[in-house]
This record gives sequence, structure tokens and C-alpha cells, in this order.
Amino acid sequence: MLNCIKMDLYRMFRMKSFYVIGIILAAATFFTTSMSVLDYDMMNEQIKENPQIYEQEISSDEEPVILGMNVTIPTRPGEMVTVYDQVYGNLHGKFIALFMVIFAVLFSTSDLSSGYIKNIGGQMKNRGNLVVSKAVALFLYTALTMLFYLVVQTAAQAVCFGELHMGPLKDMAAYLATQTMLHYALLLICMAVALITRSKLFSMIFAVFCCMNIMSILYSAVDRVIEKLGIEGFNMIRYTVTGRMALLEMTPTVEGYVRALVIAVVFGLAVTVLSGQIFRKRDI
Amino acid sequence: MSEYLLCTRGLTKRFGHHNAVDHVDLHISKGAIYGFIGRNGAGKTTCLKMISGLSSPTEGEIEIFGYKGRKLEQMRSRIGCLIEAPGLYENMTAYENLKTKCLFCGIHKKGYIEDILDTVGLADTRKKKTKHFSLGMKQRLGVGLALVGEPDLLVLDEPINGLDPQGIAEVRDTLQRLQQERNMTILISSHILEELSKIATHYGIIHNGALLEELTREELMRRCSERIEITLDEPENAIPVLDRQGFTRYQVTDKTHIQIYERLGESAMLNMELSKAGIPVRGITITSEELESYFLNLTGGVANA
Repeated sequence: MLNCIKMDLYRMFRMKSFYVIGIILAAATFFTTSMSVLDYDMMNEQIKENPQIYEQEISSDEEPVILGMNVTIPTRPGEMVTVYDQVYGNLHGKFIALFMVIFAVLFSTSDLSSGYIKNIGGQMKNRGNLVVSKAVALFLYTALTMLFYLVVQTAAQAVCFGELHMGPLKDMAAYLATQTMLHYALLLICMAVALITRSKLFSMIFAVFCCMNIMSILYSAVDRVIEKLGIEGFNMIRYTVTGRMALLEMTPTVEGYVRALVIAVVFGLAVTVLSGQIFRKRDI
Repeated sequence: MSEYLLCTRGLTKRFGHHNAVDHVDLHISKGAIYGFIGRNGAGKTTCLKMISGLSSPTEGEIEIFGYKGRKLEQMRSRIGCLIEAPGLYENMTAYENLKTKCLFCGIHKKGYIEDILDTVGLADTRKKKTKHFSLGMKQRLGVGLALVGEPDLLVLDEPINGLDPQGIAEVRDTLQRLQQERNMTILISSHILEELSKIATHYGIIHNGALLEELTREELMRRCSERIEITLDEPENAIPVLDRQGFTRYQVTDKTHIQIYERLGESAMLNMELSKAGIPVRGITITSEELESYFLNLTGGVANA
């Protein structure tokens, strides 16, 4: 098992996409940060001219479901934009997740698409261990990417805004750790879809759809069916990994953290076990 | 424990209603180079996949190194395989591809990868990525990957497919060297009998999923070599005559035929001696069969090719 993990880590660090995606992520982070400077200035201008608009916007409690990607910083007018605001905006909007799921699909399918699996698949006592080792490698990838993103975001913040405010570090650490687990669970889901369908294209589309809130169409259809069954107020998005990523607040309660972590662990474990079992029994 | 290193009993793989492999009983001795011959779609790859552990049989049993069932799972690391096209990470070098497999096998010995590269003749590829390799180089690297962990059984599926004559010769030399130097048992499939005949010590011929015949190199050569074939009613009566004339390499092949593999120019004299002994000869001819035509006849002729 340890050998499998070593092998997967070795090939992960030798994948070109590992570095290419990292570079694109860094460039995109700089780009979005520079755009948020414009947004922030524009918002301040608008507030000066018409303060009621902002009051109306923040009075709504409901989180609107938007198809596509929506990255907005939660900074209030007059306040300083912090690194935490940017981190929240990008993680909440699944902007970082988009890069990570693309890599997860490429990494999970590379041994299948290259045929390398044939060199090792027959020599394993339990082929399901290959899925576990991929999951371990993806965990390291998730943690490293989050760390890398934080560093890049901090640099981008300093460069684009000309000043650096980190925000409440304790809250940011808790938020980042919880989002890391949710992102990791999403990567495991994408890995499972890739391994089960054996289709790079399908799993890539699925992964991108998850990050673009396209799945919310499906969720709302399920909500309607459940409503027709007589259960009022059911909202499926609250019980999904991507839903939790969007709903996790900047200063969540302990209950909010626990709920997010439980969903991440349950989904992560379930898809890893399922794909491991299928991978073990299926012919290569 | 079986006398064979590998044997299968009633090995079957069914896809829907189609039996891709149909009750195959293979017998491979230690140190043999077993040529597994069959046309495209005969069931060779499916059979080898089951032996390599990449696919599970629908029915039947595989025994390798004297182990079967769950116990065999523990022994799988002693089998190296190259099934279909070599599976390589194209953005990695030959060294990195081998390193990946070494990590999987838990091998950290210094110089180990260089030795394998040397064995398969890829020592000078350095930083060249495998996507820039020729097909022959890829095949040899595939063999190299199969060699990681020093397996006792090497399973190679059509390793000479698509290679030019030089590439074929290189792979052939590598395999012969491995068999001689390491006493490795090699199961190699091909649809090119002529090529297999240069290295294989044993043969199994598969057709439409069923194993038609297993034979040694000597048996195959005997069947394909030039010979005098005598047709007569009671072959056993002719044996004293053959012995008297000093023939030693002959065989009664069935109820009406004797085949003689020596002194092919003496057929007229032999005919006369048999007549003198009062043995009626219905026919006496010098005959031979090409390896290819032997295989074709066995698998239903050219029409099925």
C-alpha cells in the first residue's frame, strides 16, 4: 500500500498538468484579484452616489443559486479588502475547485488512458488499493494547492491593492481547513466518476458542471419530487459537497463546521469505497 | 503440487453468450518458452489477461507456481506481463517509467533501473521521452517494465506486433537471453508462427477460444519437416523391414501411414524392399509442410484467415 502511494506521488509530481494547472491558477488568481480592485472601487463609487442599493442587496437572507461561476468578495463599502475576503470569494465561488477537479480527473485517468495500469494491475493482491493510493495522493494535492493558492493570493493582494491585510487569521484558518476538506471530497467524487465511467471526457464535463452550479438544476428537480411526496422545505443543495462549499459562511458556527465536515467525510468515504470495490472487481 | 509451473483447467471467459476462451487447459513447464499461437480474435489476449490477473475467469482454474485461488493472489508479484500495446506514461522517460514500477514493487536498489535498460537495449535513451520512441523501443521498454521485480513467469502478448525485422530480432534476442541467463519461463503469444518457431520450446494453438493442440518444438518440427510418407494397410508389418534397412527416425502416425525423417533419397529402394517382403504399398511420397500451412490447416485453412 505504501509502495502504491509512493508510486502515485512520484507520477503526480511528474505530471506536466500538475505544474501547468498551478501556473494557470496563479495567473487566474492575479487576474481575479486585479478585477476585484476594479469591482471594489466601482462599488465604493456607487455607494457614494446611492447608498440604498447596497442596503437592499444585503438585506436578502437567501443565497441565490446562480448558474455558472460567481466570484464576489464580501467586503463591505468602506472596509479594507483582506486576503480572507479574497479567499472566501474564490473558494465559495468554486473558482479554485475548478482547477483542482481538472487535475483530479487527469491524474485519476492517466494510468488507465496510458495503459500503465496493465503493468501493475495484475500484481496487486487487492486492486482497490490503487484507488486508496490515488485518494491519498489527491489529499496531498488538495492541501498543497490550497497552500499554494494562499501564498499566491497573498502576493496578488499585496501587488494589486498595494497593501496587505490578512483579516482574522483564526477564522481564516478554520474556514480554509473546512473548505480544504470539502474540496478534497469533491476531488474524490470526480475521481470516482472518472474511474467508474472510464471516460475522461464525461468525468471532466461532470467535474466542470459541479463547479459551475449546473448540478443545481438536478438538485431543484429532486427538491420538487420530494416536495410532491409531502416533505416541505427540503433543499438538496444543503446536503451536497458543492452546496456546502457555497453555503459555508465566513464566520460559521461550530454546527456549520461540523455539518460541512460530516458531509465531506461521508461523501469522500462513500465514493472512495464504492470506486475501490468496482475497480477491484472489474477487468482491466 | 503440479509438475508444471503454470497450468489451467477448463479456463473459460464468457462475454454475454460468446465464449472468448472456452475450457482451455494449458500446461507450461518451468524454463519453457511457450508460444501461444492463434489468429486475431482467437482468444489469446483474453487468456493471457486472466493468467496475468488483469481479468477474472468466468469458469475454470489457474494454477501458477503450485498455487491457485486466493493463495495465487499472493504470488502475483512473481508474474511480469506485457499485454497488448505497452502501457507507458508518454511524458516520462524510459527511466522514469521504470522508476514508477520500481516504486510500486518496493525496489530501491541502486543501478537496478540502469541494468534493466541495459538488458532491453535502451541504456542510451537518457532524457528522451517515450512519446518520441519508435514502436520497437516502446515494445522493449514494455518488456523492461515486465522484468521489474525479476518475475519467474513472463507473459508477453504479441510483443513483436508491428515491429520491423530488426525490432523483431532485438526482442527475440532479449527473450532468449532472459530464458538462458535467468531460466525464466516465458509465455509469448503471436499470430506469426514463423517468428515464434525461432524461440519457442513448446507451443499451444488456440482457435475460436479453444485450445486445439499443445506440442513441443520437436513434435512441431517433426510434423513440418520433409519426410517419406508410406501409405499401407498394415504399417506394423513394415517395421522389421525398416529396422533391417537401418532406418531409425520413423514413426507410425496412424493406422495406414508411416513417416520416415531420414535418407529421403532412398524411397525407391525402400519400396522395392517392402515389395520383396510381401508388404503391399499403396503409396510412397516425399512430403513436407510449411509451419504456416500446418497452422492454417489446423485452424481451418486459408478461408478462415
